[in-house]
Amino acid sequence: MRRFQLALPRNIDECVKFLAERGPETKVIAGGTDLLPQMKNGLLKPAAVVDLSGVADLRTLRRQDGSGLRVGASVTAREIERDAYVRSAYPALAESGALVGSVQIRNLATVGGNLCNAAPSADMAPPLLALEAEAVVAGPRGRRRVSLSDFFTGVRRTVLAPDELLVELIVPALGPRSGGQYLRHTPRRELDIAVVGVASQITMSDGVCAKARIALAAVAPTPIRATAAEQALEGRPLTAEQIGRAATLAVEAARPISDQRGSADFRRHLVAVLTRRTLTTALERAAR
Amino acid sequence: MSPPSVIGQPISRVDGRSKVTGAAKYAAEFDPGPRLGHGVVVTSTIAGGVIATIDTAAAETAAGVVAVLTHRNAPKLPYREHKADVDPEDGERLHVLQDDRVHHHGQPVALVVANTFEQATHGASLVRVTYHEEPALTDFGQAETRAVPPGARREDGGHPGETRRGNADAALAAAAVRVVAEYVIPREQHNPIELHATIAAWEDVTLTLWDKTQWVDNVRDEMAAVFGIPIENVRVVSPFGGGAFGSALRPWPHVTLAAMAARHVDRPVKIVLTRRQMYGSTGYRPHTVQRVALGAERTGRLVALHHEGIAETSTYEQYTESLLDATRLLYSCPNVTTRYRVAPMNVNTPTPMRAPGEASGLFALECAMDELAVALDMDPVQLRVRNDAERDEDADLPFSSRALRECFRVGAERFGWERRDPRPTSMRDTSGRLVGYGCASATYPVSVEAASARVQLLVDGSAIVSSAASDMGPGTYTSMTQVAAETLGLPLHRVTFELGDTRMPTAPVHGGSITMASVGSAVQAACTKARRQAFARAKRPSADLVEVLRQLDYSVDVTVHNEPDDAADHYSMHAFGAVFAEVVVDAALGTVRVPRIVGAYGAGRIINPKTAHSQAIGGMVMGIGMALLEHTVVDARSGRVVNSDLAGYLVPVNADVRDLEAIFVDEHDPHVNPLGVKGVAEITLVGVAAAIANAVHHATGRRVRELPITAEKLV
Ligand SMILES: Cc1cc2nc3c(=O)[nH]c(=O)nc-3n(C[C@H](O)[C@H](O)[C@H](O)COP(=O)(O)OP(=O)(O)OC[C@H]3O[C@@H](n4cnc5c(N)ncnc54)[C@H](O)[C@@H]3O)c2cc1C
Repeated sequence: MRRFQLALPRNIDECVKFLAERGPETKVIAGGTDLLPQMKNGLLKPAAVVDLSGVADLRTLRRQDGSGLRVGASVTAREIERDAYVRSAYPALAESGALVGSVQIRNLATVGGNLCNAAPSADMAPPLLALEAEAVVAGPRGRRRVSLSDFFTGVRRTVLAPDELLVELIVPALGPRSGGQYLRHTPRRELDIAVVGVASQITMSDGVCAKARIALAAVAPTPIRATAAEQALEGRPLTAEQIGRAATLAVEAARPISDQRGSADFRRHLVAVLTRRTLTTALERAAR
Repeated sequence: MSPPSVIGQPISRVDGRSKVTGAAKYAAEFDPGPRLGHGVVVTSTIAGGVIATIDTAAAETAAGVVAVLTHRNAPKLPYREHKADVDPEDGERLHVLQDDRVHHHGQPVALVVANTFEQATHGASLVRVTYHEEPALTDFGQAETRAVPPGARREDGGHPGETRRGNADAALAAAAVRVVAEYVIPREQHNPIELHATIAAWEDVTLTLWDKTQWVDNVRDEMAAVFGIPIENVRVVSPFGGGAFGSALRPWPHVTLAAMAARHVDRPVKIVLTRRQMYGSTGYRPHTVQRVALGAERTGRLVALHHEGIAETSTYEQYTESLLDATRLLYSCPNVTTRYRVAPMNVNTPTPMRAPGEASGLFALECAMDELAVALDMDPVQLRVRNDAERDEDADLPFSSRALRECFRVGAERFGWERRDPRPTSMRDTSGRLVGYGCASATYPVSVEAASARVQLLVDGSAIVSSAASDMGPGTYTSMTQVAAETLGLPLHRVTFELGDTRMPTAPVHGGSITMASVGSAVQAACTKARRQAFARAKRPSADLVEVLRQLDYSVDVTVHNEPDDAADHYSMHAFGAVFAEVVVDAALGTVRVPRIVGAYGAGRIINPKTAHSQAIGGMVMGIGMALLEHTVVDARSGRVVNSDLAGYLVPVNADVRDLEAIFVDEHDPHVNPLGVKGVAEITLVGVAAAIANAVHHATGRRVRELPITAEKLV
C-alpha cells in the first residue's frame, strides 16, 4: 500500500476544501469496506485520504417534515436496516441495507460508500433508484442535486468530480397505497455479492397501478432502471399476467455478462423471477 | 477410590479458555526477539517455463528491506532424500529457489525480507520477473487424455491403477438393471482460518521452527534433510493449529524459505502466506472425473461394480489418494473392477483434504447407488442394507466391527425417513417449495500408527503427559487429558496434556483420523506404567494415587513407545456411517437450502461425545460446502486460480447451516486398539455431498452429477 496523508475534517466545508486543495489523487473514506480492500489489492493508490468519520452532518437519517426522507451519506447499512420509519415506509430500502455483508460489515458500510463505489451489484442502489432518490452533492462550486438515475456513469464511475462529496440522499414521500421490495440472488445466504438484484416500487390508485419503478443490479455496467417494464404497468391493474409481461420487459432491459457467478442467460432468468416476485410483494404491501 | 469415569463424558475443551482469551499461541504469534525479519514471497505468474530476468534492484533499495532471495543468490541446499507418509511416493518435492524453472502458477520465485511485514510486502511488489513461457498443461480436459496409471512401486497400501475381483464386464452385460454415470468434482481448497505461517531462527548450527503443522516430527526430519543437518539440530514447535484439514500435513516451500532466509540474513525470519498465496502453495483436493457402472438383479442385489477415476496431479509429484478404495469393500459384490488414472498438469501438488479419496469416491458411488435405487424402484436405504457386506471381500478378512445396517436403522428413524414419499417432486414445504430427502453410506478406514508418550507424576499429586502430537482443532488436548486422567485414576484438573514440540516423545501425523487411536493408545500405555511405578514406590499402602504421589521424594517419569498389534493382519478395520439430508429447493431460482442433516456413525468408543459431535457437525458443514458451493476456479489460460480469496471461494456461512445432528451408535470393537476407538474426524464429511445431491434429485427430479450443485444447474 502506498503511503498516504490522512485528513480528519470536522464538517462538510473542510472536506470540500481539502478535496479541492489535494486534487484528483485524493479519496474519501467512509466505512472503508470497499476502499480499504481496493487499496490493499493495489487497485487504488491515493496520495491522500479524507476520513469522514468526524463529519457529523453526514450521519443524520431523518424524516422530512411532511414529505420524504433524508439519508446522510455516512448513514450505515445497519442504521437503514434497523430504523423503524425506514422499515415501515421504505421496506425495500431497509431490506437492501439488511442484505449488505454481515452485521460487522453493516456497522461500517455506508449508503454513500455503497453508491459512490458504484459497483454494478451495489445492493442499496436499486431501491434508491426505484424510490427516485436524489443525490445532494457538495463541491468547490457549491451544491447541486442529481437524480440518482443520472448518478452512475459506468463500472465504478459516477458523476462526482474528484473534488466533490456526496452529502445526502433525498427520498421523496410515497403516496398512500405504495409498496416495494428488494430481492437479490446469491449462492450463499449471507456475505455474498448479488448475482442479480431487483427492487420494485409501486403506487396503486383505484385498483390500477398509478406508478411503478423497477431497478436492477448486476445486469449492466451500472445499476439500471427497467423503464419499459415500468411503463407497461402504469395505468393497468396488476394482474399476474401484467406482472409477467413486466418481468419479460425487465429482462429486455438487462445487459448482463457471463462470469464465475453466473451466465448471462441465468442472470436474465433471475431478473424475470425476481421482478415477478418483487412486484407481487410490492402489490401486497401496497394493499396494507 | 478411583474417580468416576471421564472417558465418554462430554468434557468442554480444556484449552477452550486459552483459545478464546488469546492466550493460545499460533505459529505466527511467537516472538523470537526484536531482530525478527519478515519474509514475503513473490510468486510466479505463469504456469510453465523458465525465469528470464529478475530485477530486484528497486526492492533491495526500498526502505527496510534486508535481503531479496532469488534462484540466483539463494544458497544451494542439499535436499537429501526424504519421504514421509505424507509425501507422494513418486516424484520429488519442489526445490525452492534452486533453479530457474517454473512448474506452476503461484510458485515461489523470490523472497523479500524486511524489518516489517509492510516493508516486505512493499518490497515484494517491486520485484520484476520476466519469463520464457513454455506451453503448459493447465486444462484438465486436455491433461485427462494423457492420464497415466499410478506408479506401481508401492507394495501395499498404495492406490493401484487396476484392481479386479470376478468379471465386472460380463456381469454388467448380463445384469437385469444397469446404471452408468459420470461424476465430476472440481478442485477444492482447505481454507483453514489460520494462514500458513513459519518462524525460523538459527542459533549456531541449530534451527528452531515455529510452524503451522499437523506433524512436528516430520517438519524436523524434512528440514534436516533439506539443509543436510542432523535431526538433533532441528526443533519444531506447534502447540496450536487454527484448522488445517490436511493442508498442514506436509511442510510446503515457505517453511524451507523461512529457514533459508533466516540463515542468509542471520536473524529470525517469519513468513505468513497470504490467503491468495495459499491457493497456489499449500495443496488442495484434486479435481476428479469418475465413471461408475452398477449392475444389479431385480431384487437389488449388486452383481457388477465398475468404478474409475481420473485426478489431477503436478508434473513433479504423483499425488494419489484412496479414491476407489472404499468401493472395493463397502458393499457385497462378486464382480468389481476399479481403474485409477492421474493426469500430470502444470499445477502445484494436490494434498489430502479431509477424507481424501473417500469424500470424492463415495460421492460418485453413493450417487450411483441412488440412481440404481430409482432404476429398481426401490427404497435407497433398503438397497444399501440389502448389499451390506458380511466381510471385507477385497482384503478377504472379517471386519473388526461394522455398524452400517445399524447406522441406517438409527439414522432413518431419527431423521423420519418413513415420511419420504419416494416419487421425485412429490414433497413440498408450507410455502410451496420442493422438499427432498436423500441418504448415503459413509466409511473411513481405521489405522493405528506407532506413537510414544511421556508421563510425569509429580509429588504434588498432579500429572504432566506429553507427546509430539498435534491439535489442529478437533480436541486432542481434551481427549488425551481424559484418557490420561481415567487411566491414572486422577481427576481431570490434576492432569495436563502437552503436545506440538519435537522435544516430546514421537507421534505420528495428525491426519487420517489416527490420532485418538495411535497417540491415545500410547498415552494409555504410558499412564498404566506410570501408575504402576508410583504404587510400587509407595511408602504407605493407599488406593489413592494422589496420596501415593505426595509420599514420594521424587517424581515418576516414564516414556512408553507403543506399537500397534497385528490386528490389521486379521481384521479389516473401518468406521461406517449413514448420512441423511433434507433439502428445500426454490424451483424458480434453483436455490438449495439444507434445513437438516442427520448422521449416524459406528466409530467405536467415543472418548468425548461433545468434541466428537463438534467434529461431526463440522464435517457436515464442509459437506454442505462441497455439495453446494466449493469450487476452485482455474483460468485454463494461465493456471491462475481466479477465486483465490474467501469472497470468491465460497464456503458455507452460519446462515447456510441449520439443524445438524450426529449420533454415535454403541459399538464395542475389541480388535482395533486397546481403547476401542476408530476416529471420527474424516468419516463425517464422507457421504454428505452425495446425500444432498440425492435429496436434490428427490426434490426436483434433476440429477446433478457435477459439483457444486449451483442454482444455475437446476433451472
Ligand atoms: C465482507 C464484505 C461484504 C460485503 N457485502 C456487500 C453486500 O452484500 N452488498 C453490497 O452492496 N456491498 C457489499 N460490500 C461492499 C461494501 O461494504 C458496501 O458497498 C458499503 O456500502 C461501502 O460503504 P463504505 O462506507 O464502507 O465505503 P468506503 O469503502 O468508505 O467507500 C467506498 C467508495 O465510495 C467513496 N465514498 C464514500 N463516501 C463518499 C462520499 N460521501 N462522497 C464521495 N465519495 C464517497 C470512497 O472514496 C470509495 O471510493 C461488502 C464488503 C465487504 C468487505
